[in-house]
Amino acid sequence: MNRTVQLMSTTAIALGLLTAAMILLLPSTAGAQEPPDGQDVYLANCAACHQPDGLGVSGSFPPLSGNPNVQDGDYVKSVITGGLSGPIEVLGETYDGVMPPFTNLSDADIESVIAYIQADAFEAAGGDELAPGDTESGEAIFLGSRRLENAGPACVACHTAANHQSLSGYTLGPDLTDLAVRYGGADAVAAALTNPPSATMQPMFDGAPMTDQERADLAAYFDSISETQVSRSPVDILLVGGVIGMIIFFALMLLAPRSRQRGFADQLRSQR
Amino acid sequence: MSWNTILFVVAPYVAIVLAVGGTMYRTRREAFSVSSLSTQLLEHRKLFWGSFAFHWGILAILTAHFLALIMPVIFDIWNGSQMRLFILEITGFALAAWALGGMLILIYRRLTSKRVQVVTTKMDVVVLVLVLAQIVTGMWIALGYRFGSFWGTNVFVPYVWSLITLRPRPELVAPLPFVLQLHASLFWAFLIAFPFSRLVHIVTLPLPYLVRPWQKVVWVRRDREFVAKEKKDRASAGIG
Repeated sequence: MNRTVQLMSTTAIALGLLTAAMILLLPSTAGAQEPPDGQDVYLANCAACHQPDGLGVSGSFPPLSGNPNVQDGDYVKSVITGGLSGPIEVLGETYDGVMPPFTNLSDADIESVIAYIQADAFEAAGGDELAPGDTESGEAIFLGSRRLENAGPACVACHTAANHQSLSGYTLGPDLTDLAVRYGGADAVAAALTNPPSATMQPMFDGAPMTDQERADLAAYFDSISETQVSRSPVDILLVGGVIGMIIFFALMLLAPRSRQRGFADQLRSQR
Repeated sequence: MSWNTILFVVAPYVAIVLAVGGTMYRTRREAFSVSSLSTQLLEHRKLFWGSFAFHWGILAILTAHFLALIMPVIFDIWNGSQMRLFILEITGFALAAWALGGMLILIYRRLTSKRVQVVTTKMDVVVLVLVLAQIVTGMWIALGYRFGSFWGTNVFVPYVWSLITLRPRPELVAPLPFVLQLHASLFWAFLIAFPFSRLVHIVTLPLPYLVRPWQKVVWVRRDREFVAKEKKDRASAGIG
């Protein structure tokens, strides 16, 4: 027993040192950097939905240019860090898009981008229009039979949509059949895919963004299925198939040699 | 320090160091204690149905987890076809259910066999509960948050590699539902229990166990010819 205690204490000291080293190392990776440029932060994180010219997407993503709400810095910060969904009214028009919380932005990033938005000095977009998407290609991306160029995950890994109902069971993410309706059209979907709207998706696509064509194809696919009536089997095929498989595995055990089932001692006894 | 940091940055390193260091210490200094603590001599009828099902099922599942870790791209390509994805998921769930069935038989055996109860330690109970919880949460994830074989390569695989390369990315795990976090956390608990329990028998790679006769009796006796020769020698030397 003493040895076990000795073992535990020795390792505990090693662990303490290692853990302390880890925690000390963690902040140092951030390092001292130059203050971020508000425009860069805006173009990388906000422009996909609110557009480079700050005019937003009608019905989905409100304009930031000329929007009186953006002058309240605390409010803008709370929206950036906490996200915003549900209908809101800006300058007499209603918008019903979904904005995820941007947990990837540092305080300095947020301050700089708020200053950029409040200055209302957005630059016109110019030539940023997406090419029209291909529905079939979009479905192939959804299913993963066409892999995303930057190796992001296929949608079907976590989502259901239209007649792709994941063996009629629960998925990690929500059903996307009416995504285009919820977002207010294919353009809004394509824009939102620049920064996937969930905290689960963001780190998965961090460093693996979808290309413009992939976003356009997916948006076209979601637009094409938005009116589909979803039908699913009342039986969870994964559950039923798995239980049948288990019964088969147990049944296969009957094929094991009798020596394994009975043990050597039993065999000796039976020979007496 | 947040719970997220404790559970998904500190705990994994503590667990890994304990598992590796503790197991090395035990195999070097207390080699004879490294054992599966088999109870097959005390009861073997239920043991066959429990142990065989549990071990083959869990080995297949663990192998799949390990393969996904070292070759995630192969899994992504395989799962790119709906039929292949469904075959993999249903087979995986069936194997897990097989392992669960085996585990339940083993637990029933331990609760009902008085002979086995006599040698059951507290640590055995901890191991049973840990492994059972790990199988149940894994199956819960497979059913309730599908398809783990597909999203796992984009969540848990980069997370585990971030730990291995000493650049932890807990943000990958932080937004996941509770059961997924529990499944990951239980693995650290499993590693911590590893060197202090019968779990150490895993690293002995007992591959012959999978194909050898269920029970092996090795007779300890002296070779007859040797005994006869020795007797003769002693007689000719005038001893005894």
